[in-house]
Amino acid sequence: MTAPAAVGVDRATKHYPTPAGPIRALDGVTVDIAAASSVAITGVSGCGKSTLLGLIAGLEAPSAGRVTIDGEDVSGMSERARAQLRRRRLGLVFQSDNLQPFLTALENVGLQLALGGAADGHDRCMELLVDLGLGDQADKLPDQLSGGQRQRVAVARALVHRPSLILADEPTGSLDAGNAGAIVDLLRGAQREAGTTLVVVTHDPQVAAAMDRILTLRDGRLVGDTDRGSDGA
Amino acid sequence: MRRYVWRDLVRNPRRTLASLVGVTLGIALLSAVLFFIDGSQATMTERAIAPLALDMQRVLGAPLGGGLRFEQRVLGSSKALREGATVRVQLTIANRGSVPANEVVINDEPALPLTYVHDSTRLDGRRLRDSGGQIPLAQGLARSGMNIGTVRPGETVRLSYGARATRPVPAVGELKLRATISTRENVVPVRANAPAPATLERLRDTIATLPGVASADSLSFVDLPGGSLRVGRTVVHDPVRLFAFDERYARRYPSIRIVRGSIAARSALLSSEAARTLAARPGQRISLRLPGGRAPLWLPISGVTDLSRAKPLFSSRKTSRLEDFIYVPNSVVVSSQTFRRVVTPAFRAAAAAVGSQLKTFPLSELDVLVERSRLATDPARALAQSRSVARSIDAVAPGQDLLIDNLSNTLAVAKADAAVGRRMSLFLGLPGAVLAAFLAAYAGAILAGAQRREQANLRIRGAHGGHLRRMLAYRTLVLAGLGSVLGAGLGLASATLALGAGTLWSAPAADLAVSALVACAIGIVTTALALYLPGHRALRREIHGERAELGPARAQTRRRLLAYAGLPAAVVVVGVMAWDAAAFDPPSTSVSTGRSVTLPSRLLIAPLAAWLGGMAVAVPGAVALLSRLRLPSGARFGSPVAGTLVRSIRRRSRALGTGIAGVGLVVAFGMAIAMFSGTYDAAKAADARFTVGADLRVVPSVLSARPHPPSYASKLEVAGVAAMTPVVSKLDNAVLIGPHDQDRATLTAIDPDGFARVAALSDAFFAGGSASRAIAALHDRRALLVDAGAADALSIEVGDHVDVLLARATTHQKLVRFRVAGLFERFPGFPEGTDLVANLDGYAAATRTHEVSFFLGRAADGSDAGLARAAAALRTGPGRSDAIDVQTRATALDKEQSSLTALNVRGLVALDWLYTMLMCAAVIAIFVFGLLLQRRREYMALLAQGMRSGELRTIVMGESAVVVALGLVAGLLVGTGMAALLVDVLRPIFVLRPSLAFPARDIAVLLAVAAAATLVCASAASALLRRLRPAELLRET
Repeated sequence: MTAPAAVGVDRATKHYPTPAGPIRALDGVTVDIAAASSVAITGVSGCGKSTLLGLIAGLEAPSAGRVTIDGEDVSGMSERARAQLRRRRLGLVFQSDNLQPFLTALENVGLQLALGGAADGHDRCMELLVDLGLGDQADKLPDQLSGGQRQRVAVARALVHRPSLILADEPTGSLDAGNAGAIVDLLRGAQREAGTTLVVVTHDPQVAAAMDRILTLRDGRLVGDTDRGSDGA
Repeated sequence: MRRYVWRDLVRNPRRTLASLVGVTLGIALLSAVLFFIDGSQATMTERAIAPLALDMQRVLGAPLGGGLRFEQRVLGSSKALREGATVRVQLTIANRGSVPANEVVINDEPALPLTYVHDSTRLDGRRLRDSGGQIPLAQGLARSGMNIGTVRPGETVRLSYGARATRPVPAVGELKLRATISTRENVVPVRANAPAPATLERLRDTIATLPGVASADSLSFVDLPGGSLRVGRTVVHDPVRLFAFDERYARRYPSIRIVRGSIAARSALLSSEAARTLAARPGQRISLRLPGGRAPLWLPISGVTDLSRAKPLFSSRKTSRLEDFIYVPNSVVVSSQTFRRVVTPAFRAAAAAVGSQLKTFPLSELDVLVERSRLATDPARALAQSRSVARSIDAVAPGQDLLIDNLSNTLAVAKADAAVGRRMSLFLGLPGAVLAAFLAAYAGAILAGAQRREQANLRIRGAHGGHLRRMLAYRTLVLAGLGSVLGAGLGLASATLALGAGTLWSAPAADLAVSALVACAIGIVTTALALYLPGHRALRREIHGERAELGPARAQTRRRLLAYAGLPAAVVVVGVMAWDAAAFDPPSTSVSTGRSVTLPSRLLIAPLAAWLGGMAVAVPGAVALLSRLRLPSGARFGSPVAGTLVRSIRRRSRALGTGIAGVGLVVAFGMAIAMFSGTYDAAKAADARFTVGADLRVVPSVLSARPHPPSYASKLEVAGVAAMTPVVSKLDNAVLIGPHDQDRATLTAIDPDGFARVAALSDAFFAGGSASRAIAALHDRRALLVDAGAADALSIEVGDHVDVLLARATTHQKLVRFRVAGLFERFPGFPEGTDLVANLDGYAAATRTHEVSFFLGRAADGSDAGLARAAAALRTGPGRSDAIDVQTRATALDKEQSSLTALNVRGLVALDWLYTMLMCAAVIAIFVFGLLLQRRREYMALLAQGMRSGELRTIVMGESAVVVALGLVAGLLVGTGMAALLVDVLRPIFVLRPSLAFPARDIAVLLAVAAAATLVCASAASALLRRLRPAELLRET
């Protein structure tokens, strides 16, 4: 018996209405992503990568088709259930850190734990920040950190509640090569250590090459699916 | 570039609307107030002159006529005089009348540049000695004239004196000769070479045809002593006033009510009181005894008239007391012909008689009504018109009589009130401009932050700083111009709704146009600056500006220092200035002297300074409070919503400060308006109650044939009336005799127990500070309360014993010794003042009179409805069988108040209140949607982390609620201070010192609007959040 895919996308279509008529951002994409695997979604700008990620994260609902996570139909979930899914089982990282500017690094990470229902996650947050080399920056506001540091805090926020699925949208897009490599290493490390599924949207071939599998989108359609097995390590 | 800006504005309607709403509402408030004042002023003329009984009175200076002719000329001179030349000035007095002119006084000095030649005065050729080296015709410091004694009929007297030119005189004819003549019969000095005294008829015929004059009617009257009027053997023992006017006059002034018969030639009308006293009826004959020793005048009675409200007849003719209604109950009206042929000659003969003791003289006047419909609606222009009419009336046979111009006096007061109204707009309208600027700046700052990204894109595409600044300028001009024009339109619409189209559009179109232009100009300038400056600042700021929001900055410290020290200091300076100017002391108002309420503009700036200064202190205080909010203990984050909310509020307290300032400014203004409005209404009600004396005043009509003793009060205690008390009072009905001097006084007699139960008493009225103690002192029948001013004038103190002549000038008058038991500043029921208050029983026993002047009553239910029910019960009860006039505090409009009340302050305040509500909602909406615009990525990130939209809504609502709540608290505190200052500044328009009211209902409405706006906006924001595309937003860098 085949284990259910961590992420299942079945003929997912997404239209956006505009004054000039609807734009088809995603057009019948079907793909399964195995648990504990790492997948890169690549393609040119506007091909639908981020839209696909948004559908998987339950931030948006598909116009047609469906998305499942661990066999559960995300697109059919209530808003409350989707929120519950995100706060407990998903970790999201974006190109921009999207940290809350009024929370310290520690609090930004701690908020994710609090959302997951943890009463006191201080030690877990500090441990993670120390692991990420941010132990002495924990009480600083995002504005007082460098871009690389902020993105590491964002990664910590995505990992702190030990999610089963990490979704990263261009996580290295605004970082220099050194910081970008560090962030990819962090994500891959976490994926391997905890058996987490990692889906990374990127147009950086180096980042894509670090993943087990590479999906290529063009004009909202899946046009390439390269399984690199353990080569991606 | 212009096209880009235009498309940006059109394609982002929510942003454009957010920028426009504040400007539009603020300018709408400003312009609505300006339009409202224009409209109110357009009816001020009509309202100001409506109660005026007589527009103008031309009072004859020589009512007894007289045949004296007085000429002055320079003898034997050529046309010019060289320096040093002497001439002779001759004065000729010729009596061409039939009676002697007694005590003829000639007053003259040489006309400049002539000087008197010593010892050159001659009387009929006889040399007169100089007096102290001065011309005998102008002696002493007062330059008094010379009494030449009696000039008999047919006699001519010649006076002459020499004069020398001190410098060349080019034309002798241009010398300003200034000799005057006066006699015992005609005490008003008449100039030499004056035209022959004009007759009343001639004056009337000439003046009636003047442009602007609607009518001119002759009126003559004279007072006759008691005993002058009788029918058969029945005599009127009190003084009698004899009037002469025709039927046309009676028709012109409807307050003259002929209740039986009619006016007829060679007959007499009797006043109701005289007819009752004499038990006379039409057809009987009256006998009038006139001075001069002639036989009595016999006339048939043609009718009975009620003159008790005839202001044209009984308004005082003394220039110092023109507003006094001095009623003489026993009056007779005869025809003008009878007066001219019989009455005037009788007095002339009496005046001419040697040793004459005549105390009153006939007075003849023309009562002129101006064409009121042709007067401009604006009091200032109407005043110019009325003065022009007065000048043309004065120009008819000038120099012999006196013109009393009541119309111009009234319009001068109205004009000043109109100016006060304009100044009121300083307080009621300018905040609109301030709020427009604030809201525009607030919205501008939010938008500028949101546009940073677009501007960065434009820069990448080649736009430089100049381009961006120009685009900002275009956007600012469009928003400020459009907002101001829309605001002016909205202001016009709301003023039309408040005043009615008829009233508003009766204002001159030019005035309305000026108001619109002023509102637009102020709006464009203030909001353009408010929109441009934040935008310009944002252009210079780096993309990541959160540091400024979260960390301390030196500029902020300076601003805080200014807020903590500078603005309050400015408020203190303004307050001291106001105090120093003693402008809080209410000046008295009087139409007769043409004075109105004074309201210096600087005092109206004081509440505005308190408004801005108060908020400048309150907002940093609120921010400091927020920045000290307790965070969850230890390293706990706490609940996601509470933990996020508390940290956001604490660490972004300064950013919230702007929202607090916005809500606070609007609420403070609204609070001040509500409190002022409540105080104004309460003060007006208190003034009305003070004017009436209690809830109700019942005045027996002169038409009533019944006696009204004090016991009649019990008959008036009908359903709805809790208590009634009798009061006796009459103008100048007593003489107060102090240790060194004496004076006429108005005495009021009351029943102390009854009065204490019903009257609108206040401790503030009495010098000792206790109303109950002062009134209780009157249980002693020989105790007297004295007006503090009267006591001061006559050097009377509490505890002194004084003599008072009671029931002065009546057959009941009696001298009684009283002990001064207390002093009072004001007395309820007597807005124009009473001098003495005594015990009614004591007064009745001393004078043996039992007729009461009026009764004061307390309604069982003090509400307006209860009062109306009590008044109705009185009218349908005792009023059915007895002629009584029922006044209530609702019907008795504060006559003592300034005509500023005509400005309809209530309407103005209602307009302000409406815009306060709208702006309160607008500022909350701008804050909430501003949050949404500025923090949407934060919210989306929270959503992506797993926060539910309901929790997000709680955070938005929580933050908004904190801002609104603190804004409300700050606004309520600052508004209370503003209202206290404003009420103090406007104290002169009230009779009694108003105490600050706290209108709970209005404030509850304001709070409800704020709460509803917060709820609605937060819900709408939450709905908008759901429509955003998180994936797209979170991808943005």
